[in-house]
Amino acid sequence: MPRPIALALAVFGLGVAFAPPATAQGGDTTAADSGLYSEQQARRGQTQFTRACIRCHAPDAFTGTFIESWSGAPVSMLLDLVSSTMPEDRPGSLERRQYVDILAYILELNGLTPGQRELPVDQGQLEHILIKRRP
Amino acid sequence: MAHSAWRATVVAMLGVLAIGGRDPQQEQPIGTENGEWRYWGADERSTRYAPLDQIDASNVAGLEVAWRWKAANYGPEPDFIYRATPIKVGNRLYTVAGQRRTVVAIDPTTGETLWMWRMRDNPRWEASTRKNYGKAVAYADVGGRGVIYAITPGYYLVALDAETGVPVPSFGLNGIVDLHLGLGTYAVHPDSGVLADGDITASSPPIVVNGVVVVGNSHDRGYYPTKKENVPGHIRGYDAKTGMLRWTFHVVPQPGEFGHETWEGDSWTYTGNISAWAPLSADAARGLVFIPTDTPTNDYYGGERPGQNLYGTSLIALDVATGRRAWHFQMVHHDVWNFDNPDAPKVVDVMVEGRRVPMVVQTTKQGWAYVLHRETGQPVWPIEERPVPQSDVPGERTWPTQPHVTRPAAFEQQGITEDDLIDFTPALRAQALELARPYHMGPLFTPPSLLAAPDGTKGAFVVPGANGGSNIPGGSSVDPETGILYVATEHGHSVISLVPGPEHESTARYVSTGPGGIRGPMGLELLKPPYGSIVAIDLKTGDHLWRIPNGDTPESLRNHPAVRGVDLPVTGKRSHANVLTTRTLLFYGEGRRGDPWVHAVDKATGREIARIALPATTNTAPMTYMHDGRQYIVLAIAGPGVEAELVALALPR
Repeated sequence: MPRPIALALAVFGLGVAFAPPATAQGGDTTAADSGLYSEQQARRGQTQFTRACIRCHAPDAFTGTFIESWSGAPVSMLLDLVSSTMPEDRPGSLERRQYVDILAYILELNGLTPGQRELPVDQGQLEHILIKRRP
Repeated sequence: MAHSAWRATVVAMLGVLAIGGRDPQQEQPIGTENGEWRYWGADERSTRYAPLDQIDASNVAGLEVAWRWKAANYGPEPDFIYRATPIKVGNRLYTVAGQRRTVVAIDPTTGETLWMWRMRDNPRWEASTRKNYGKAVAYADVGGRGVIYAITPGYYLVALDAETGVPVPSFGLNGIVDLHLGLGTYAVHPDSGVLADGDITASSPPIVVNGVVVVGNSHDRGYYPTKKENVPGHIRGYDAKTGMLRWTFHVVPQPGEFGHETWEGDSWTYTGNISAWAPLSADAARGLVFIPTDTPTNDYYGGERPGQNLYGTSLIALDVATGRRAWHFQMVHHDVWNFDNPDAPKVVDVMVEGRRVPMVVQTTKQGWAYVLHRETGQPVWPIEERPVPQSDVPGERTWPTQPHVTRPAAFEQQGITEDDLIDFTPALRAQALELARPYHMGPLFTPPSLLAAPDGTKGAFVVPGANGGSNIPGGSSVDPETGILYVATEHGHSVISLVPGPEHESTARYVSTGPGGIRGPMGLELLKPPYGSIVAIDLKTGDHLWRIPNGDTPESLRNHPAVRGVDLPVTGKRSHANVLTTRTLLFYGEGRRGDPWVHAVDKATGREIARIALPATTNTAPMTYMHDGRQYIVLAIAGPGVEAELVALALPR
C-alpha cells in the first residue's frame, strides 16, 4: 500500500499542515506542499479546462473556499465527483488522465508549487493523497 | 382575467370542432391508452402515468431483463449519459440516441433496431451546445400516415415516415424545416451558417397538437456567458402536413405586443434565451399548448435587462391554432436565480371541494408546485406577491416582490440558515459554519452577490441550487385517477458569486463564476440530509401525503472517516430520482448519482415493495407499455464506464 501523503494547499495564507490521511493505517505522513504535479501537467489541465469547463465555470470558482471545503478529503473523492458529473453535457467523456490534469491545474490555481512528477492517475495512489490545510 | 376566460372558452369550442372528438367539459383520458406511450411524458398531458397493472405488488420482485438496446454506437464516440425516453406507437418504439441525435425505431418485443435516420454532418451540428440532449421524438397521424417528428442538434425540424424512417417529402424541403429561418435578423458566419452572436438549438421534442407541430428550443448554459446578447427562444407552430410556418409567439414581446413594457430601455433588442427547453404539454380538447420558459440572458445578473422581463421564467398557455396567448403566469419576476421551469407541466383534472378543476401543475427548481386553473391561469390556491431581499450588485434592480405559493407547501427546503448546515459531529459543524461564513444566507430569492464585495463577502447561497429542487431528469408524475402528484426532488445549494464580465472576456457587465460552489467539510455535503426525496402531494387538498428518501445512504457518506461511529439516518442520494406511475405502483430509478436500482413503491404509503438491480444507474424518465400481452418498463441507463443503453424489464414468460 502506498504511503499516505498530505497534500497541503496554501489557501488564504493558511500555509501547510500535515496530518494522517483519513484512510491511513499508521501515523507516517509525508510533507508535500509542493511537487505533486508538474508545470507541464498543469498546462495540459488548463487546456482541458478551457475546452471542457470554461463554458460554465470561471477558474475563480475553484480557489479559496471551494478548495477549503475539500480539505481533508482524498483527491480521489474529488476526481470521482468531477469525472462522473462533468462536463455536464457529456459526463465521463474525458480520459481519466485529462480529468487528473484538470485537478493539477486547480492545484496550481490555489498556489501549490509544481515539481518534477505528475499527479498520478492511479486510484489507489489518489486515495492516499489528501487535500489538507493548516487547522 | 375575465377576458382570458372568455378567450379560453372560445378556444375550447374551436378545439372540439378541430378534432371532432373530446369535449373539454368531459373527463380527460386516464394516462396512456391502448398500452401505448405516445409522448415523452406518456400522453399530451405529460402525466407520466400508464393505467397498466400486469406488474403489481405481488410479482414486481420477479422483473427480469427482456432486452437491452445499445445506444453507444449512434455517434462519433460512446456516451456515458443517456437522456432519452422512447415513445411507443402501434408495434414500435421510437427514440433518439447519441451526439447526432439519431432517430431510431425499435421492436418492442426484442429490442431489434428496425430503422435509423440521422442528419448529414453540418457545421450547425458541430456548433450545437446541446448535442445529446434530445429526449424523445413526437408522433402524429397525418392523413393516415404515421409521422415521427424530431428536432436535430443543429436546429432543424424533421418529419419521418414512421414505417420506414424516410423523410416525408411533402413536409418542408424534402422532410426538413430549417428552424433558423424566421427567428429574426441575426448575423451568421457566411460559410457555415452558424450564428455569429448567439446560439439556439433544442433539447426536447416538439409536440403535435391538432395538426400543429409546436417547437421549443434551448440555448447554451447561461452561468458564465461571453455575451449579454443572445437569440430569444420564440415559439413556433408549423403545419404538421406541410411544414409551413403557422405562427410565431415572441417570448420577448416586440413593440406593440403585450408585455413589451416589461423590458426597459432597449433591452428587448438584445436579450435572449427564455427558452422552452423542457418538453411541452397540451390540452388538445381546449386547443391549448403549455410552454414552460427559462431565465433571460444571463442567468444570475439582470442589470442589463431592467424590468419584469415577460415571458421569462413563466408558464404560457397558447391557442395552438393561432399562437395567441390565452394566459401566462410568471413564476419569477426578473429572474436572477436560474429558476428555469424545468419540466413539462402536468395537465390533470382533480376534484377540489366537490368541483372538478382542470389544472395545469408546474413543478420547479425552487421547490414549489404551482397549481393553476388551466383555462384561466388563475391559482387554484392563493399565490401571494411578497417582498423579497434586494440586490446590492451595481446596476442590478431586482424585482421588489415575488410570487409565493401558499399551497401545496414547498416540497424542498427554500433558503438557508446556519441551522441547515451539517452537524454529524461538532467538528464537522464547526467547519461547516466556517466554510459558509463568507456567503450571504437568507430566504428564497436572496439575490446573487459579488465575489469581491465591499463588505468582504464572496457571494450568496441559492437554495435550492441550480439543479433544483425538481428538474428534468427526475421530474414528476401525476396519477389522474387519484389526483396525487409525485415529485422527485434534490436537496442542494449553489453559491453564486458575480465577477465583472469584462475581466472574463464577456460583454456582460457581470457574470457568475459558475453554478456549483463550495462543498461541505472534507468533501461531504454542506447541508443536512435528506439529499434526495420523492414526495407525494394530494392535489385534491394540497396536502403532502408522504416523503421517502431517494435510495439508501450513499456509500461515500457511510464510509467517510469523518462520520465513523456516527449513527446516520437514511439520507438518500443527492440525485434526481426518475419517476413513473402505473395503476398499481410508483417506480423510481435513483438517477445518475444514485445506485443502480429501480425501486417499486406502494403509491399510497411510499413503502418500498421491491428493488431490481440494473446494469447501471438510471439517467432520465422511464416509460412503460403493453405489447402482445406483456408489460415492459424501459429505462435509459449509463454511468462511469458503462455506455448508454436502454434496458427493458418484464415479468418472466
